[in-house]
Amino acid sequence: MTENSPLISAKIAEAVSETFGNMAFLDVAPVQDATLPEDVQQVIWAKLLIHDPIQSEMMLYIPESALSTIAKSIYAIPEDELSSQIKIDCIAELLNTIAGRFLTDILPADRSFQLGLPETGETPGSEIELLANSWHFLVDNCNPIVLNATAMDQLEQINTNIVI
Amino acid sequence: MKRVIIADDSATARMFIKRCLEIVGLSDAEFIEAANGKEALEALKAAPADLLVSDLNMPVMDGETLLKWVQASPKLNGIPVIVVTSAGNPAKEAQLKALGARAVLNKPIAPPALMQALEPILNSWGGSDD
Repeated sequence: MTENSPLISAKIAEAVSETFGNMAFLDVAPVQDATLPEDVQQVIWAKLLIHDPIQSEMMLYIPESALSTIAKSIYAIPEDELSSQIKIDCIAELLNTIAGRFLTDILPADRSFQLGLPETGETPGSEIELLANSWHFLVDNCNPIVLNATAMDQLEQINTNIVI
Repeated sequence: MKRVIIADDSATARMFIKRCLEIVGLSDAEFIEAANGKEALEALKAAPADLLVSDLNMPVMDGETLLKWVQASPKLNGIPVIVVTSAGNPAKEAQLKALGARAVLNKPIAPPALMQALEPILNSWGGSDD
């Protein structure tokens, strides 16, 4: 795993915070600890390919219990009315929105980008695959969520005009 | 009652857009949800709509193709179209507006931004609620 650039990390944090704030009305805080608690058994993931201007992959991992809290807040319905399909759709849309918000912010204004369609799945918490760059966030005091991405160094090279 | 079509492949996004539209004044509208551009086009052909809100990146038929179809149809090209996208930037926004989109909003949308985009459309409707 490579070290996260301060610029990329700041833009990722803004995108995650704005997305969760607007869609789920939940506060998000970045955390340094990269390990999930051992009692996190099942994690839902979403994966999204960035096709242009770089070839990259972003993955969002959310422990099932945390995703229930998030989906409940987005849909404003009781937890027992949340289907697994709703939860999976939520994580896909969250990642799609985070990725778009991040790329809009990090790329020059005249540079377009193209995203793929999100894929989703489940994995045991112990089998989370950490890609080249990884960030962890606490959402509403739930177990931490993990955002992974590749090729972020290439994005930073494209970005020559942004000042934090 | 106004008829509003929301096209997005994400049920979460459709629900969220619908909620935002209700917040900014369309609480009495009839909402028709479509999972892609083709479904939205079929809904538009089945019955006229007062507003189309569409995502850009969708399977089967994307939002840009949907917008082109709507603008090319004499029966549909008067329907205001708001594009909501996670892949927007000023260049893309200008391109979509040149194709006929009334407004282009970046996700995550917020009710104030939607209200600003919707205001001229609501004004063009006047007091009519037919």
